[in-house]
Amino acid sequence: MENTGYIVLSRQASFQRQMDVISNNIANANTTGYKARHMMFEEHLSGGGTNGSAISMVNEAGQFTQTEQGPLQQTHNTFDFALQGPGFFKVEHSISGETYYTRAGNFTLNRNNELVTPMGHRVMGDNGAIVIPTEAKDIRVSKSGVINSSEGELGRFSVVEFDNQQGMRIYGQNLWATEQLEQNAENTQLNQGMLEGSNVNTVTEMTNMIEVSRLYQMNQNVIKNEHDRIRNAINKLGKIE
Amino acid sequence: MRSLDIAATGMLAQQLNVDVISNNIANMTTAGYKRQRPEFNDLLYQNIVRPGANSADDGTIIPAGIQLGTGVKAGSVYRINEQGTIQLTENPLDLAIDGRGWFQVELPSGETGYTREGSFQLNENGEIVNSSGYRLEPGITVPEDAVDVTINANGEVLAKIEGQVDLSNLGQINLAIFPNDAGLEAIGGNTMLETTASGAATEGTAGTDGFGVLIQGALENSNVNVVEEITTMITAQRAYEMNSKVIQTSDEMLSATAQLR
Repeated sequence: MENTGYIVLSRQASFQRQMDVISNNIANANTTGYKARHMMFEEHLSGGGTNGSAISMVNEAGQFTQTEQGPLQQTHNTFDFALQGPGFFKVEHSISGETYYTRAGNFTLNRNNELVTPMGHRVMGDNGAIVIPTEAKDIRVSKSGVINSSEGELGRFSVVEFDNQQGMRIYGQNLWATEQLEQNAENTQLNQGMLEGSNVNTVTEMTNMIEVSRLYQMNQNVIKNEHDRIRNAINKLGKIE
Repeated sequence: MRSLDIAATGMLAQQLNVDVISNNIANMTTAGYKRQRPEFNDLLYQNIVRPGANSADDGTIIPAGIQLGTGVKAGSVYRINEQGTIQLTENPLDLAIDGRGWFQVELPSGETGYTREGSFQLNENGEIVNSSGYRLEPGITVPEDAVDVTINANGEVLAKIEGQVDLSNLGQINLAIFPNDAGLEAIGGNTMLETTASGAATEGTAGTDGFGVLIQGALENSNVNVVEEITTMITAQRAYEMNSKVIQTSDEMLSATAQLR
């Protein structure tokens, strides 16, 4: 008899989860290279009732990343790079030394003249960290990632692609990790002086949020009605004429 | 609910964004000012279901998993050292640097400060000082009887002295460059200090390898692009509003829960 409550409860929990994911997308609506995440839910059949029918609950199935290209914004900054296509920059974590991948190309130089992310992780080229000597002027990076300057060629960005972008782990700090094999980028172009904005579609997120909020309230009413029904039933059945 | 805290991080980040934009706009006519830009990062993720975890004994793995983000934070606010436009002022001691490099001035503390603002003047001893009165390094004194001062692209200061035919050389203005200009510490008054992040200064002659050239009678405007700042501000404001809507919605959901009996 209490199944209604549990079914609605499973739905309510899913709404709260969805709200968490939406709010993270909105909070990162201005984060360079951020990719929106979305929840997926599935039906979970639980046991058989007294008449043999299973109860259908809501269960979290997983998440997926919205991999579409974020909008390119022109910044005219020499060390801003936007990727067009499915590729990633390769960076080395400043503390653990592990390899991570990022779409955020807002790089700067550190005191050793190495190209680093805003958090200080070194950006990898084909031959290790990318070093821009102090005397190098007119730094131009081609679409394929070759760095040219007044001092000649300075290396090439290591831009890699993966078979399954959905299988990558998110680390935070705009970084991603994966055990998949790196493949040399074939469908990715590099644009200097530009950044890839967050691909969060704020209109969709806001409408999703309103929907979640309304459905949550409706479900709350179901719980309330169910509660009233049980209470009335007890009152009525327990009444002695 | 996490969404309350997450939206709060979003609002804080946008607030910082507007703070930085307002400082850029306030300095849009400050000579030698370099605009700043905040960089945001997504915060760490909680793994509810790890991607690649086994979902069944036969080795089936979960393709995407569930990773819950916890919001956003500012990674850094850094200066974009793009060249500002050069404005002619016809003032003989106004200097603009076209290219890389910083003027060196002696701060009252004895430290060396670095600035791109080249509106120099003379003090009571005839020394070249910047608008705050800090002496240019290496020090250059213009004699009282100098009629005209010429500073060439390489920083040589030449003066025409009353009654002399040849120009006399008063000294050389050297520039300093850093591996990482964005790592300099701003102390206000258009002045920067060297830090570990910026790396050590390399002093050299203007116009030589890697150094910019000097332009006499001109100033470098701030590189703030107002149109860009205003549009960024609009985006920041909207993002702020949306985050506050998230808080409101989460609050409504919580209040609906609280009203349950």
